Amino acid sequence: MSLLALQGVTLDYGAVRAVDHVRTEVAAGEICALVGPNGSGKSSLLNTISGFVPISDGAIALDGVDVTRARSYELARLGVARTFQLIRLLPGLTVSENVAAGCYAELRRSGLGALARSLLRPGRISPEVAARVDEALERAGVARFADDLVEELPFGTQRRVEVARAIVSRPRLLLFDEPAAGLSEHDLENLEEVIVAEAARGCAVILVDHHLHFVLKVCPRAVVLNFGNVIFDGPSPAAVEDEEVKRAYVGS
Amino acid sequence: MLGINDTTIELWLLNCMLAYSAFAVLTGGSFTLAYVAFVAVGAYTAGIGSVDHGWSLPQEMVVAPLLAGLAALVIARPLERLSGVYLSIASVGVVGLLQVLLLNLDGLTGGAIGITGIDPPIGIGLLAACVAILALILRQLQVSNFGRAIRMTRVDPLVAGAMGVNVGRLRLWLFVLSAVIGAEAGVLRGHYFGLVTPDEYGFTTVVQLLAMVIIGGVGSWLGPLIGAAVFTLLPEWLRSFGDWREVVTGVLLLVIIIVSREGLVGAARTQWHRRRHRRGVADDAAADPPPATSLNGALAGGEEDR
Repeated sequence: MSLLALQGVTLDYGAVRAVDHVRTEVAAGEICALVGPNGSGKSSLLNTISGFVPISDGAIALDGVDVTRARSYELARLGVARTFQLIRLLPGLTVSENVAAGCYAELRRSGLGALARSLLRPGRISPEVAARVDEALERAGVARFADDLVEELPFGTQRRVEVARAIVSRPRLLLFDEPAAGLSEHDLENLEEVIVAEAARGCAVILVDHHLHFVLKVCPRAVVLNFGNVIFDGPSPAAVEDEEVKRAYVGS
Repeated sequence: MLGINDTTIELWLLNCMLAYSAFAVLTGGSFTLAYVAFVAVGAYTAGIGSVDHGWSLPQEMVVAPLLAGLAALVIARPLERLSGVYLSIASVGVVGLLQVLLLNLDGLTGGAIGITGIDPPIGIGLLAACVAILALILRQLQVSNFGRAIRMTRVDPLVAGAMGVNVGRLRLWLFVLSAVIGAEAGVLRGHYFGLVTPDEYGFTTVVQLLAMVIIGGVGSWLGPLIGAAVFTLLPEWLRSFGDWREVVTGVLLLVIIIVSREGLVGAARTQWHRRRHRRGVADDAAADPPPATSLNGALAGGEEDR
């Protein structure tokens, strides 16, 4: 069974239809690119999958569970992690604090008992979670910046921190919104390594990007959008040869 | 010396209580300014309770937060539809509305004269105990997982949502917490001065408490303690400026706010990290060269939607 199933997902911004009856599935362990020209609805689709924008019509299922109406925090608790097109780290916090934020959903307990416990013994992060934070920092190649404030780091490093924050919770579904934009060759290699490792662990990865070279290299499968419609869904090398995809990019 | 004596310490402790009420809601990043209304609820509970009904102080300290907490839950309903500056304006409206009610329900509230003769007066011991307990609770909350959620919500509610924080629910509870703290502060304030009048609980107080929290810093339980200290002692220190005192106070507040968005505590924290960072960079430069970056890679990936 597929991990993520979209059925007729439609998103209207007023009179503008950003996503139009998208139907596709992504399996666990699969790396799938979501590409298309500017304004084709890639980011909108990603925002609906991560629960930031409620869809106008259709249904979304995660591992067989209907999450059509789920909000972003509910999806995060179900194991969906994402990065943002414009980096969104928490300024004023160190790199390791930012990455630890990614563990919030699993550390959280609700109810009065949890409140009482946290008043009596608030504690820092447990050793195992701390070890996972260290591991994520290491894998994203930012371990040596652990105690630096994020806003003082260069762009590429901030991107890596965001990636570390997304993988620290060991998500089931990872959504990358233009992770390659503005990265150096060195940073790109690291990003590819992380993505491949996450997929090998059984995580489904969806990657939105303009950087075609990177997408072709990393993603075996591509879903191409144009004006909110899926115009191609198949092996990414074939996507580049597809006539309709060419027309969409060049403009007919 | 430094203008510190029993009275200034008592006033500082009272201000800490009041500032904590504002802090509780502001620390979650929603700019809701209704806290003074809950302080008024506490103060008038003390007034009406002790003068008209002969309640004891402990009774008032149970009833007032319950009343304020319930009121907060009710007010939160319409307020939660708003955000940003609209929320601030509406919440100040709540304070204004209550003030008008206090002025006009004179059978209950004593109108413009208010209520005098609130008994028993309270001393420095009870105030210090209340502030200490409150500071401890807020400190424990801050270092717990709740604290992490609060911090994320304040800094970037969108990211907080992506990390699994139910931002709306969290802000609602912080609003109720603020009301409960405000009510306790109000009860103490009523007993300390022995009287309540409606003009103490208006816009001026809203701004004063806001200033205390912003000076100290919305990010730490220490912030209100420091902000309240600055706010209590500054007028004493600036006595020699005479009529210019208020102006100098205003300028100092502006400087602090411009220097650090997270107040004095935030500024101290940033400085501490900067110093560590600089040391770290010096060490790294000595140890290994920076990773090579490729111009090609930078160009290939240069299509940023910025």
